[in-house]
Amino acid sequence: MSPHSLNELEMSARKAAGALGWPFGLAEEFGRATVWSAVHLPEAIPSLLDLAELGYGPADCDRTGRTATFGSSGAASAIAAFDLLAAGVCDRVVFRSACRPTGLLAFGGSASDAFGTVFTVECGRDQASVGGGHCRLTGKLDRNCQLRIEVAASADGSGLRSPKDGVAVDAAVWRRLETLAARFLVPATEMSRRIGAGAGIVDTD
Amino acid sequence: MRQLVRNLKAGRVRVERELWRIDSQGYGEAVYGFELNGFRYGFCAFTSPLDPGDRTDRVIASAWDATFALHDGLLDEPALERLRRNVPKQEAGRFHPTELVISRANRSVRMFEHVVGRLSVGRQPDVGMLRRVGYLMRTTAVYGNGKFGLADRCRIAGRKALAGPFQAELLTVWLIRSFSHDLAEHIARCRNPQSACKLAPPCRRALGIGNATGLGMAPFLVGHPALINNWVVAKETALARVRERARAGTDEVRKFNSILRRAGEHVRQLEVEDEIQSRRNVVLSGEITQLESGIRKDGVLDGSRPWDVVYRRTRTMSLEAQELAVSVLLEPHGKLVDDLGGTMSCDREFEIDPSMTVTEIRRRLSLHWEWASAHDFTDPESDKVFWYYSEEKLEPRIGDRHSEPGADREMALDVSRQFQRLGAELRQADDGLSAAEFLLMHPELRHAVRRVQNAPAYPYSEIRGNLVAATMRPIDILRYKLAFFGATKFDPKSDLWTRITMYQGAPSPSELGDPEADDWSFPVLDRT
Repeated sequence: MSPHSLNELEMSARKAAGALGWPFGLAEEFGRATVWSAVHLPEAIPSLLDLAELGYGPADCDRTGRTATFGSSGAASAIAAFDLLAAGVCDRVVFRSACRPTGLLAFGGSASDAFGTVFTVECGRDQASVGGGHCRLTGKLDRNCQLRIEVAASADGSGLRSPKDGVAVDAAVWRRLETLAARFLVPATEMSRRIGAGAGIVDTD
Repeated sequence: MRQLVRNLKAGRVRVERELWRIDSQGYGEAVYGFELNGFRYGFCAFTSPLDPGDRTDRVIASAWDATFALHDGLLDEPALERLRRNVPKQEAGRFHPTELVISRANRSVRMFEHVVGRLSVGRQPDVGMLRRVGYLMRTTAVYGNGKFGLADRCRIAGRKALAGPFQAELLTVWLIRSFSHDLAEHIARCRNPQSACKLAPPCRRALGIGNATGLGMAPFLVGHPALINNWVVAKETALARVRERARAGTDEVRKFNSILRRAGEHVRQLEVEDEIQSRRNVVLSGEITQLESGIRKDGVLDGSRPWDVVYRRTRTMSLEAQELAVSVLLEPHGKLVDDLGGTMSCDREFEIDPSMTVTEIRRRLSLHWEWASAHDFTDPESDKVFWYYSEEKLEPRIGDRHSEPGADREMALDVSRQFQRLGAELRQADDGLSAAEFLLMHPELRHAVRRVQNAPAYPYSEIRGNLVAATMRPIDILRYKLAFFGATKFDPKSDLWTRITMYQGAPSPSELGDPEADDWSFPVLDRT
């Protein structure tokens, strides 16, 4: 696995989300979650890409007291869930069906860095906590599990570890990300080549 | 650039040529090494013949006269071999986290040949040519911060001399300039070993490095609102500190007068091809003369708050004169303002505050409303332009939304339009709703909320215009960023791209130890 920079991961992830029709604000969160995964939980990146391809929304939420319940763990729901917890609007969020729990965890990880909050994620008997620059998993959040997930916020935690030598990303995963990102690029036409940007095609000053 | 050179001087940098494997035509490879504040760096250059038909300033070029890399650490043979295989490919190459920056440059054919020809017969370059062109090579892209596998900024963010924004990139450009001097001297010597001479120090100083810049800077600025805010805050704070001074010291007066005079001469010597810019330079030249004589006649610098008076006298002048005056005012006050250089970086852009109420978001949006609401987006001309990445080497381009494909993949540069949409939804929302609850219903407004929430803390974060309007001129945005780098000789080639000169007048590596090495703003070419 060759090292990749955090910047190219984030930018590629944003483009991938953009290509899939995500609003830019959500694409930004997708980029951050991808970087968080690459640093803390590389096995979550395929789940994130699955989530991207499944579409970002809608965020279908019911609130009862201090608990918010989402029907699915799509990206818009995941992002909204961690917002609600960080805002103190809810103490607990439940996803009735979490098809990509590690992807959800990645959104939680990047949210914990942004908000300085530790999030605890429970999926059946398995539990994970993210925040304070760490990711702790007990058991394994299976990529394809359809279990109910519960998320709670607590304490203070912030600080993304910044690897100075890049991060290793599985070649197949990187190819998949790049393929998606490439769909955000607009094919060139003769007109775009000629007048879409500055300078001439040949310059022998 | 000024910060960088000052730091290089303070760090007593000595650049050594470690490898020079260049043939008589100027093709081959070279390696330079140096230490800066305890860190070792290597800089390598690769040159090869270039078909004139392939020479272009555009990002879409695939071959160049020269390519470069700045390496973190000792550049040993295995690393050099890796760079030899990748650097000449630029965007098509793959890089390692030990590489900080890559770049490429093309010769200015007329200038390069002129200088080599003159040096080879023992003569110095013609002053008129130096004035018209001012560089031997022109960079066409400088990549850092993680592009193509290069090191992320976090690798160098804690290093004193490279912590500021774009310092590693600007260091690379300074080294490219030095290499271009060495290359011209080398070819001249090979051409005529008996008669060739080196560049005289004034000519060496007069030869900066050119740069061609296009649309890519606009998405960068919109994408880094906190960073550009910090740049402007540093500048405004510096200006405020200077204007506050009750009296002018003797040394400051002497320096100010000298720099203002030099700035006037610098502007008179500018020769650019663009007609609009040429006219502006003529106006600017007259205004500097007017300012200089007015200050002298009225004894402004002997009175109270003299720098504030100088600043106020420029308010009715052209924008060019106002901004030039700010630079001249700051120059004599290094001790007062240099610390602000350390405040210009930003390692994390805006975060969302999910607990902020709708009422508060509305209040913050009102800070932007005057400019953001000034555009009527029911008018097709108001959003005629869309920005996108072309599949041709990711070149940023603009297109016509109403007649070209690709608007479904546009970059989010339509900030004023997003703010208007946010305003419309906020009007319908309950006052006490939190941002988290609001965004649950409107996830498409997340980016706008993020920007608006940070408005009070970052008053200079937004380009207050409509970047998707038919009347939008990207050239103004390009100049804004280039001015912060310290670029000179702004020479627009159209509304979409410009050429500039960098490091003209700056010391070369061998001159860093000179006592006056830091005094190189507004370079003036000796007429002899």
